[in-house]
Amino acid sequence: MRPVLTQLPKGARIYLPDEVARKRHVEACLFDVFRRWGYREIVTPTFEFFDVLAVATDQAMQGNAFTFVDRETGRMLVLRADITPQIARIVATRLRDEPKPLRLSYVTNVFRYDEPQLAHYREFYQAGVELIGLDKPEAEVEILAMTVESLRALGLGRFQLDVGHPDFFRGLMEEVKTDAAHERELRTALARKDRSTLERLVDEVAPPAHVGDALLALPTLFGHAEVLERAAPFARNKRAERALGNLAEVYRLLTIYGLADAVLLDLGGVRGFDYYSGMYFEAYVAEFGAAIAAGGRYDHMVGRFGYDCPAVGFAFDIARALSVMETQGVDVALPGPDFFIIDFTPEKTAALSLARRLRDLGRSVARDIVTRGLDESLAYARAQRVRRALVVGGPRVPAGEVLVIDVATGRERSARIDAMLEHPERLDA
Amino acid sequence: MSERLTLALPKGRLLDGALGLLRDIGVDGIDADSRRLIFTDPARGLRLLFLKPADVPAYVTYGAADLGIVGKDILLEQEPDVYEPLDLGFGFCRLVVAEPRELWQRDDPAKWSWVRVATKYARMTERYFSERGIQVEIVRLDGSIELAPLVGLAERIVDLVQTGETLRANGLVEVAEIARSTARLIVNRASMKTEYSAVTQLIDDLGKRTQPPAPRTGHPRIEPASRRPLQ
Repeated sequence: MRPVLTQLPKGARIYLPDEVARKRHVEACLFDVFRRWGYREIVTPTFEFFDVLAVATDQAMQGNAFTFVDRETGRMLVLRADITPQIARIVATRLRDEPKPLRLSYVTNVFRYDEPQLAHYREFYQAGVELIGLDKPEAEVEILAMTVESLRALGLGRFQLDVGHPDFFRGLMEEVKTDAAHERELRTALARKDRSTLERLVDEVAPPAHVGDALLALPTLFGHAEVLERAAPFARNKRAERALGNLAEVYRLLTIYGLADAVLLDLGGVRGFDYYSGMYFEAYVAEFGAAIAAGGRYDHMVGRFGYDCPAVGFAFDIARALSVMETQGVDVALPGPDFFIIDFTPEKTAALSLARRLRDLGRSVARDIVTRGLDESLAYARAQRVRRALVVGGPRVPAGEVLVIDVATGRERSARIDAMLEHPERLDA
Repeated sequence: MSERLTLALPKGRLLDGALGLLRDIGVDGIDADSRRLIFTDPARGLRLLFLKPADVPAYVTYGAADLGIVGKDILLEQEPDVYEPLDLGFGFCRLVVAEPRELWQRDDPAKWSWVRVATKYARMTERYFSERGIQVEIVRLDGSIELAPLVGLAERIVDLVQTGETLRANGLVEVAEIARSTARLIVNRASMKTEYSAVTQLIDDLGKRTQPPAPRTGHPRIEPASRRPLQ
């Protein structure tokens, strides 16, 4: 038996027309927010030399990339696994002399060998921004505020931004002598708020007493403004102090923006750690176990391409946003064509000229080319979610007239074709 | 409590301990013997789901339950992306490699280069042996693992032991320990933020009722023993 060629590789995802309509809706909502904040779109190549990714990402990301060989040079190529290093390189080269800050936005597909779960696939779509050239906390607050606005634009409720700063933990670790394996285990335990494993690790690593206390307290340094006070006694070196100071300033500004309630401070959150140099955040929505957006400050990334320049940014995972919208019952209108013309006359001139006039007005018009009865044509129009059917000729419609049928209600009226060609907008009425 | 939280409970060996703990925080009158899979406790605003233990992480990861109680063995096997804030202390057991006594008498684990192992815990077994450079062929079973060596399905098994009685009864001997396990509280990542006050309150209450963990050194707690040498 011949194999049936229907199988998709793991993690590949098809979007059928209704799904695409929803996806486009999400992209349009997000892009509208980005535009209103003054961001301009940038497009990067789908594939690059692997070295570019390698310069600015950790080994985990590199190991997860789709790679292949360039036929001409024999060098390793990679499918875009992360757009931020690409943009960082573009900023360091082509946009270096542009006045700063740069406000760039994108919507793009990204490829990673992740285990597909929670609406995440190996090819997935992100929409996001980069704000480049600002080292002030206002930059962090701008992307946090934009994230909240984006969540609202998508119609989502019950969301929370989880805000942390990697230098609080890094500052603590400066006072600990340990190996890479233990540090990795510590991070994993912290990322899971796994207190019992943390206790064992602190036992094994045997840090100075005040650092041990701080490490054990990290999973509980999580909540609203009071977290900053609770954390203060643990910030005993410059790095941790600066991190806490930065978070306090961000939080103060968020309060002015009226956004403090949307934010939870989480000093024990250490995910995406190698990436960020400063404040970072994840956006969570009730009843969905993964972040649907994430971002933060990565001041060193542009510098790795030879041009020191601070930067912040965030991205939404579009498939996850769609999945959460479905869970929360957010309705996305999925209209079909505005008009569907059914012309029973042999010459079809009325159909063609009406269609052209309506399309000139910007309306969407499909025509029934299949020969079938009126009832069948209308059934098809209903299935396509057509708003109005225009019937010309056939047993029910006198010559020179058009029957306008509201497909949803079945309400009908007649009109003169020549009058409608003169004033096609009246077909909308 | 205005928010209603959903807590996933594992049927089977951890259920009594879990229900005991819930009684301590005022969730009472649950009839675990009834065949109902959902139970609501109005006083605490908790909805309880009774699940197969291995299904608890999926319910919590995907947010069908905000929290769950599950053995560390299952967490190590499935590695779900959840918070794991409490070691609840009960349900202690160990995941071990075992083999028939006759084999054990002439066997030298240091010489293993290839083994065939029957287990429910495919991922942990794979990881344990591959970290030691040993090729492993896994025969994935869903129960009565001890039977496999007796009928020649696999020479060795990896399974949970509590007292070791089942191993002894089937003429098997423990050769190595892979991990130790107790019951854990796990929390959905979003629930921890969006139901912040209700979830942290519940964690605090459960934490206070959990027996103080055994002394940290030299006592069976629930650490992955994966870096320990064989034997």
